[in-house]
Amino acid sequence: VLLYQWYVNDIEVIADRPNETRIWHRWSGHERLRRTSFLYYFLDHRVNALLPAPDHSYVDYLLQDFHLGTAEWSEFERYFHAFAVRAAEVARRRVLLMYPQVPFRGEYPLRALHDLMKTIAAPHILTIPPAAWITSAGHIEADTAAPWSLALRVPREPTATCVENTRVLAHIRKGERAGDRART
Amino acid sequence: LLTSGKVSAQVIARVPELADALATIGTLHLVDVATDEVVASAAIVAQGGMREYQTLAVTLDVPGMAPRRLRVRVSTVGSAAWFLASLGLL
Repeated sequence: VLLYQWYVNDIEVIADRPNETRIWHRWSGHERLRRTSFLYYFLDHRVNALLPAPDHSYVDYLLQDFHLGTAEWSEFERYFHAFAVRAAEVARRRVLLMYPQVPFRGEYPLRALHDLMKTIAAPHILTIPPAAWITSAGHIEADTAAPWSLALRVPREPTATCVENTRVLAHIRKGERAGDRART
Repeated sequence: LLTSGKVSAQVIARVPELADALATIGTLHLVDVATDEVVASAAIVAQGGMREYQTLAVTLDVPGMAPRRLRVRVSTVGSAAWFLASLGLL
């Protein structure tokens, strides 16, 4: 049996976390005191949780950046798929344990991500959306009829390579992914 | 990372210029990430006379014994302009 204890930050194969720096974090003694005083660490954490997020919140960032059709989710799904293939080689039974992000009030805000995890943990189609493509010919353009509202207009002339899903991570870091070009 | 054997792929495309018959619009390749060698290829065949998106099934055969790290490549035969909206592997 293979157990995978999944926590939500596992999906951050591409991390672009919101800025969570508070004004007191710029104080030169902050890091030293946070490491040496549990009271300071506790107060920092509590005040940080009570105040509105300086940028958008971590939960908002996860929900906005990691959903079906995004390059970020696609990249995580690719990693998870590779992990699942390796896991199947070594264990007949695989169990995925999903931990909630706490604390939260009311309905669990990351239910959509947990539902996606349940989907990709079962037999499913590994989706490669336009946001994860590197195009060599044609143009990605907005198309409301397309599943991800983007489509590649494939040229009429014969072309050996129109699309590949290679080196996506490097291109995402450089802001060169196909979906970005179509949206700008 | 794909295990050897049959791989079912899905191509979501529309080919508004295509007449009524079935036609090959392109090829789906699986390419070895390390060597750039094409390990499997199959034609992408679309139904003509449809302006909306179609889900086209493509079956490929990955050779070998061990799982292989592969990437997907799409080429076009150039007979008609078409629109590619999504790729998927089952």
